Amino acid sequence: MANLEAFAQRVLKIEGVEQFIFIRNDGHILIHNMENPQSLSALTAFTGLSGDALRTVIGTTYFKHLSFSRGGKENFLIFPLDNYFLGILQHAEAYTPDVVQRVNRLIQAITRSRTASG
Amino acid sequence: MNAALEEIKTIPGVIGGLLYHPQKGVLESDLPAVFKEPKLLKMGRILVKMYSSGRSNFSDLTELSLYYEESLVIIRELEEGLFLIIVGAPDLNTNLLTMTLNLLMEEPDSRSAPPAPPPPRTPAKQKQAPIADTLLEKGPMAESLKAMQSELAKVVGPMSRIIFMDALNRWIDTATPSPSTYPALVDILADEINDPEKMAYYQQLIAPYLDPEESDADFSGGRKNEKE
Repeated sequence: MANLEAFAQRVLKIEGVEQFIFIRNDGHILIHNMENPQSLSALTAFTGLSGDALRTVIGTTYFKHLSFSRGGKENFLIFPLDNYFLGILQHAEAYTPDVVQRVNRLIQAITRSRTASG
Repeated sequence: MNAALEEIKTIPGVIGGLLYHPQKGVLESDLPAVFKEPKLLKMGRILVKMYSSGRSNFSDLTELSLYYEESLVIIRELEEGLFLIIVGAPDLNTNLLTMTLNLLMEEPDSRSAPPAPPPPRTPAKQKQAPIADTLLEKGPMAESLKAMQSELAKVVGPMSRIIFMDALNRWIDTATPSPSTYPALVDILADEINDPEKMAYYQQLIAPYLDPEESDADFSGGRKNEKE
C-alpha cells in the first residue's frame, strides 16, 4: 500500500496530470484520485487490452500508450505497465506529447529500479 | 473517398488508411498489400469498439490514437457510422495529420467524391443505443437480458457491459429482438468472448434464462430449440 501511495504521489507530481487511475488488467482499481473511477476503470482495462490485441493483429511490437483526444478538453491517456494500466486525465492546456514523455520517464524509472532490485 | 485517402497519404509518415463501416466492413483501403481483408476487418472491429467505448465515456471524443514501437494507428469517425483508420510511422507529425483531417471533415466533397459510392448513412445507429437501453430496462426481455449481462461479468470481467451492449446493438441490427432470436444474440456473444471454454461456462450460466419454461416471456426456445 505504501508503494502504491508513493507511486500515486509521483504520478500526481507530473506536470500536466490532472487525475489518474491505476488498475490491474482485470479492471480492479488499485489507486486513483478520480471522482467517478468505475466507468474509467472499465474503459482503461478494455481499451488497454484491446490495444494489445490490435498489436498482434497488425504484427507490430510493444504497445506504448493510447490517447483519447477530446477537442481541446482534457485528453485521456492509457499506459500499459506489465499486468496493469495507468490512466491519466491530462490538464486541458497541457501539451500531450510532453505529458506522455514525462509519464514514460516515470514508467522507465520504475521498470529500471524493479529490474535492478531483481 | 479516394481523394481523402490520397490526400492523407501525402503527409510524410502516413503508411495508408482505410474507411471502415461496422456493418458494411472495409469500404476502401490504400494500405500496403500485407494488410489483407481479414486483417483489415479485425483492425476495424477492434478499433471501432475501442472508439465506441471511449465515446460512451467522453461525448466530445474526436480521435483515438494508439502508439506502438513501430507504428501509430489513429481512428476518427468521419460521419455517423463511417470511420477513417490511419496507419503511420511512430514519428508521424500528428499535428499536421489532425489539421489535414479537420480540413477534410470541413469539405464534405472530399469525403463523397466519385467513384466510390456515398457512405451509407446509418440513422439506425443513432436509435440503437436507446433501443438497447430500453430492451434492458423494460419489457418482457428486460429481466433475462439483464441476467445475461450480469452473468457475462463472471466470464469476461469489468468489460462485460461494453461487450454486452455492443453485442446487443449487433443483435438489433441483424435480427428482430425477441426471445426467439436469443440464439442469434448468444452466437454474437460467443464471437465476442472468442474462447470455447469460457463460452461453455457462460452458456451454463445463462441456460436458465434461455429456457422457455423458466421465463415469463413468450420464448420460442433456447439455442438448441432454435436450431432444431
